[in-house]
Amino acid sequence: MSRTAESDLKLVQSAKAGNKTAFGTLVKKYQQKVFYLAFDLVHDYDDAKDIAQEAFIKSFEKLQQFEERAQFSTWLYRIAVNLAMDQYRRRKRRPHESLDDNIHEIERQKNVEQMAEGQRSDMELQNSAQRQQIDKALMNLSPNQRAATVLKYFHQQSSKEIAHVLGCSESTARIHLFRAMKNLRKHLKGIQESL
Amino acid sequence: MKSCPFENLLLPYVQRELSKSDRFRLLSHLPTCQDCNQTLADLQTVDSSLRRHQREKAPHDLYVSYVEGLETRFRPEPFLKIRWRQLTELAGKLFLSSSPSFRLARAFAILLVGVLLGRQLFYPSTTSKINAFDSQQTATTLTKDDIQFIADYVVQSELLLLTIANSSADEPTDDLIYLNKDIAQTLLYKTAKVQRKAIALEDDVIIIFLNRLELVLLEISNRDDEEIRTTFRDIKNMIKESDMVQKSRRLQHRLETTLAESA
Ligand SMILES: [Zn+2]
Repeated sequence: MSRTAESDLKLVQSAKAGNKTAFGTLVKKYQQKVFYLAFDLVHDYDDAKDIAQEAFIKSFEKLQQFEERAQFSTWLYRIAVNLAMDQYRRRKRRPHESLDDNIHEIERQKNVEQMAEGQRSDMELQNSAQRQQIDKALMNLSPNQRAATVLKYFHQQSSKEIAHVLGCSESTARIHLFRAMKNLRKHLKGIQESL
Repeated sequence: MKSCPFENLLLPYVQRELSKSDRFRLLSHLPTCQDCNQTLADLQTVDSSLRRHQREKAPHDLYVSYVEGLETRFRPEPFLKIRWRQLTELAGKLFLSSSPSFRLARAFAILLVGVLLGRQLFYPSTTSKINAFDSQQTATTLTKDDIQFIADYVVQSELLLLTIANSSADEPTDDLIYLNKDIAQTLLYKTAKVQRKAIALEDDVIIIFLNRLELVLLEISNRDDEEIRTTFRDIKNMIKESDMVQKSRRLQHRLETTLAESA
């Protein structure tokens, strides 16, 4: 067991035995990771904040159900991913363009600010355009494919861990990831050709 | 469309997760298969874009309100108690080892414990001294809460500076990285507020010290473990060359004097 997992386990056991501040320490340790995981899934910081908060509340309520064979971080991520997917399904009922418009609007404002500041180089503007393309392509993936991709690339999870988080087999996790990569390639090509 | 049986080896290959024998099988197959070559090129393009991708940073105020919300709901163990637990765990491991480098590290662990104990004694006297100060606060003077806030920040950052400056190795251990990152992230969110308040002390050395400290915190908290490992020596030099531990003490001394004068 890794050192991190070992010290998490001690804190979990202490929290289960009624030590609330032990859970507080776990929250402190994972608050940043869960927040950015939620953001990577829903691409909205206000929503990410709500999802991450909810994830900690839920995990505290359900802590007695946590089986200590698993890693606490994986279990916590799973709760956060499920909440983000619920959120995504609810949001899907809204007009689809709103997300794209949002990204464009934010991106446009930022570019204006950057040019006004006169500090950003061409290279950075280019990077910002590229970032926007990838964000857009990621948001076009199915929830499972997007989750597999962000867990792998932005949260350094192995295929086995991704499988635990998504509640599927390792081979299914790999298939999600493979399809995600192919779809991303298609989207990115499409975006580049339309420019 | 029927896909090539080698297709499922492509992604693990790109992500460097393929076993040696599978890698060999795939590399022998590639020159004979157009489909796999195309897919491989596509996967590599996306893989490298994703690896380079950096997300938009969260709005600072939103993140702070998120963290504060969590802190209210789930109070963490008091800061010193966490450090104490981590240090005793660390010290426990060190005492089991008898190699010379570990004995050095042990001495340093004891030094840290000393610092912690000293600080715990420092706090109560601070609180009692500043009571009289409450009535005369103005926009430019520091309130009791301000001083407590800055004092917490400085004492905690001194612990971090000492940990780094006194570490005997140029390559930090996982324990050290974890400990440092945790402290740095906690402190970074208080930095702007501390800098704003510290202007009231009207001391350029302190202002410069706080700016430099922010750099150290950024260096540590924004990097992944591997990057910290490679830049550790630079961070250590920066702390030593600008005499940051001494300056931290100077700031603590200033805070004490400010309290004494106002009492
Ligand atoms: Zn093939």
